[in-house]
Amino acid sequence: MLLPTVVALVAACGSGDAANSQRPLERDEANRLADALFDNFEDGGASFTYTGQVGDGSLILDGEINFVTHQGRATVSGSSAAARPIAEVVWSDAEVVERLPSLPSILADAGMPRQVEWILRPPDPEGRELDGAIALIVALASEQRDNPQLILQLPGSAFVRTQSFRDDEVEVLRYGDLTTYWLSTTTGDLLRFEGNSRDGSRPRVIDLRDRGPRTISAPPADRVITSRELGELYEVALRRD
Amino acid sequence: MRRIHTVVGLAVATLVLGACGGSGGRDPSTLAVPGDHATIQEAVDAAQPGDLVLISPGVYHEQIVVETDDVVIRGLDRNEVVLDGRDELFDGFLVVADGVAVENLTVTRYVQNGVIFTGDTQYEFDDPQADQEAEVGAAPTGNGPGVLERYRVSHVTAVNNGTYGIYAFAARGGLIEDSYASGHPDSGFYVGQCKPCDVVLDGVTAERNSIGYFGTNASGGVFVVNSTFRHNRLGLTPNSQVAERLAPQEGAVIAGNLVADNDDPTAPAITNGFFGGGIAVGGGIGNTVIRNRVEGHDAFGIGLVPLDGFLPMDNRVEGNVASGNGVDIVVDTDGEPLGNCFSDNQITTEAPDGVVASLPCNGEASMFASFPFPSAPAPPDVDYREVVEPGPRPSMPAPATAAAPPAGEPPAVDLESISVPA
Repeated sequence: MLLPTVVALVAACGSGDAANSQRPLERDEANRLADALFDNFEDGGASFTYTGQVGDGSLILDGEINFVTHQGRATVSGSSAAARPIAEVVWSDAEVVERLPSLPSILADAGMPRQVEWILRPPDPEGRELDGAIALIVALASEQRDNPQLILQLPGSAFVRTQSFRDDEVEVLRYGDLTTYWLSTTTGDLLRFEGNSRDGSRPRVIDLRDRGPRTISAPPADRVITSRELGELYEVALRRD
Repeated sequence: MRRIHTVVGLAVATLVLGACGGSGGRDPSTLAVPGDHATIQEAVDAAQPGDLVLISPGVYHEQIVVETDDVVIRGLDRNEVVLDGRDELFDGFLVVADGVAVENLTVTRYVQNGVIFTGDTQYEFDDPQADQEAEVGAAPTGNGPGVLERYRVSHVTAVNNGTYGIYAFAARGGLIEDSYASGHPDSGFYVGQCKPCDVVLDGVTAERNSIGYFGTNASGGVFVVNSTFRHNRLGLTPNSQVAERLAPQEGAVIAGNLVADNDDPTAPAITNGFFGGGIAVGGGIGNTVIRNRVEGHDAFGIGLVPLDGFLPMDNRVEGNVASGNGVDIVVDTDGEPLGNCFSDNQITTEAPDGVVASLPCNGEASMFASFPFPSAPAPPDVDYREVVEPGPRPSMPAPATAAAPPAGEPPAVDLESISVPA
């Protein structure tokens, strides 16, 4: 179950002594925050793990992102309905392709036997938890630097603490009151992103590692069916555990 | 401008330093770099109000923080005194003191800005309520106590820096003159979040930036005059945005500028930026656009357009010469006059048709038609670090001996003397 994991991750940044060490950002820290997403873009891509709390459970994506083209792929797991039927996802700006291992049997049951597991559909970041997660991952890179002047005056921006993380030392900096960046003190790289909704009900953590360009391949065309072709069966497939 | 100043403190400082600062009774000194000090920062740190830091030709890999009021920092040769951030250092000059002048040098390859003057608007970490009140109250009351007072940039070349060339934020009382900016993925010149700003940009040139002049929430006493904005993606734009405080923008004067060919694919792109416009009043209020020459833009020459939820209102566009644009004048207010007006402009195209006649400055306005807003396809971004560097620019006269007063209030602008440039 994800909730304790996510809560633990987020709580770690706001607990005990850490809270007492919070102070206003210094300019260099704002500069580094301003650079973080641009650096991601410059690096080209990364491996990532996304852990998010959805209303009924968790959603976990583990994969790779090309920060320049916005293409990515990930395995999908977690306890939420948004995660359950989907084993894998590949995406671009224009489309999302989900792999549902149960799809062949669903098609067989419907009298349209085909050995396809991938469903192609348009992105729906407002309506689908999975697509919202993808949008957040993609948004961790920017072609342009942020403006540190604006970060400094953003309510909530703060230095939180430094700590060890993986094999690195990080500075944990809050960017406004809804997001927190864990930046390597060695390289300035964004190693962890934390975000939450304003009511605190949707914590999300994205860990980045193995930075560098990524080539993301789409599934073979003959293994893909569109959601339009599936029609109502698409919703059936999504509901099948 | 620093937050530690109280009202009493400011009053005392004014008595001691006079209206424009000074040396407090001592003779101003000249601090030579590298003669007297090995680095510019050492000289700046040693300087006292009224002093001149005079820099010899050379390439300096420094980012300078200026915290002493009323210091003048000057290069002996605009093109040979080069501050080079090597795409690693953040700002060429970060000025947080009042009355500072930066003159006659080049700043290039900084990650953020070539030169930045900034007041202190930092989030009140220990008093969120006060910060919230300041933010809410900022729009009607204008500059807060952290505003930087008086600054001057003269004969400065800013090239290929990561955000802005020359940037004034939460700063009042500025003069930016005879300076040049190119190769910036945001804007060459930026004045933001000030009300009043009391700033004059005179004789500046911006080329191959995403935007030539960007004036977000820069209100009151803003004059952009006698300048050249060409081969950017967008020429210049006084505008309102919620991302900064003090919205909406109002009261800028754009006069006597040459605004040409701001549809250059070799200029870097700003995220979600516009391509192919000359002068865009983006959700600004009460701006005056007069006697500019605006030509050669794929989309439009002069536009009054909504931005970020703000509508352009009460803007006056008068005596401009516009030609060779997709449309010379465009108004995008869904047919609502909103107090905008046009007078004595030389144009051949407008959108929507009849809009100029519908919005006379000396007559009654009437509704006009809506229309599809003109746009031009934006070419791919280019890396700002690869924008071709400009050639040498004219140095200031006699930099070794010219007077070096601290930055004072900007000069008054005689609009009557400004004509449409050739």
